[in-house]
Amino acid sequence: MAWVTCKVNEVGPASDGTETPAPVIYINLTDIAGSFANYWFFIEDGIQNEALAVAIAAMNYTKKVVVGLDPPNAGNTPYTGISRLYLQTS
Amino acid sequence: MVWYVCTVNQVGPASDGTETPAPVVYINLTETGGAFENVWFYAANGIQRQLLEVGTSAIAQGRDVAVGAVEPNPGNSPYTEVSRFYGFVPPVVPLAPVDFHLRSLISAPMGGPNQFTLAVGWDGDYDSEVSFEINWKTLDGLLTESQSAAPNSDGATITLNGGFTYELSVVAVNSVGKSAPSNTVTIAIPAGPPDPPQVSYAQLSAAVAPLLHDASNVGLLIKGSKFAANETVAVALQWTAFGSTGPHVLAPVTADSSGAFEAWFTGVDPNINGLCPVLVPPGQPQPAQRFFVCASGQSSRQTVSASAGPFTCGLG
Repeated sequence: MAWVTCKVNEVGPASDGTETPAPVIYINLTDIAGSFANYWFFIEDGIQNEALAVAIAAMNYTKKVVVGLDPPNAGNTPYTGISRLYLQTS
Repeated sequence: MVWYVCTVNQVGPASDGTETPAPVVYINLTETGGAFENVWFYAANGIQRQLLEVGTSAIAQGRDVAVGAVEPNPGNSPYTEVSRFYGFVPPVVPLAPVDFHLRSLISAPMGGPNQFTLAVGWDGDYDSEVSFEINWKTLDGLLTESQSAAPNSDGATITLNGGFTYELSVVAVNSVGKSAPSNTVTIAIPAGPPDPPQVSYAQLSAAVAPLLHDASNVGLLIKGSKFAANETVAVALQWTAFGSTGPHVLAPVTADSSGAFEAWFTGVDPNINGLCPVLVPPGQPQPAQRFFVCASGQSSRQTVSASAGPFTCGLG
């Protein structure tokens, strides 16, 4: 698992997603260090609702998130998973 | 499934809805491109609560949403399904770079006799920049120029003519536009020598060090070497704490017979003999201090620079 500090660009549910049992939550992130921009990830099973709440708060209050993730694949396909998502104060 | 960008008008549960197992969540949307207005949809089974959360947040924040849905039926009956529903932050110009500072100044080895190469640096988050733009102008405003730097860069070198005082700043650029400018730094560049030496040997260093007469405070110790023997050296520096100040011109120093000299900078407040503390508003922490020093030998015509910091009072 890699740790990256990111900006949340988009987040929401997808009823036709297949990566986890429902609800599948997708999130689009940009690494503030520049290693990737506008990449999609899915939230690992078991924390979908909590991660959605954190990501929405990050967007609403213009905060960054510290993310534990599987590094994205080349070309951003297939999506990789996020297992930790922490709202950062600054 | 068709993708739309929509404004959320209403969203909520309906105990008498029938399209999915409970809870049935309905949402009323207007497509921002004009494809439909005030049209009802239902959340696909499995994402009702999550769509409700994103939808209520979008209404609260006045933000649009990206919607993957079945195209609405004529007359909006029966309702069609929303299967993907993303809140998003609309693209904006990038954040301004921060901590714009001078790194080094050297006589341009391949330039004209009056040209100098100035290295500058900055910090900031990656913001989907496509480039940075360093802007500078002379204080009289007669000369304004700019130069691009690559995305993800944190520094650049530019070529300036001697004999002017310049104000410099940097902006970040993305597909939406340009950020606000960074902090501005000012540098006075001496006129270059008519016949620059083939090789510049002079060296300069600067470091924060305890004062010789008061070890409880610190100053900036500036050391020069390999100037001409016994020559007068003009020393000026840029001091950045809250903002950039200067150039502060120190009293001229005289190099010794080996071409070496030492000089101290202890701040500009006559009531504080040293660099600490920086006067700050109540409750504010001590700022990081940076220094950019420039020394010019009056007979050798060698100009060299050095930088020091960041240094913060109380942090050692």
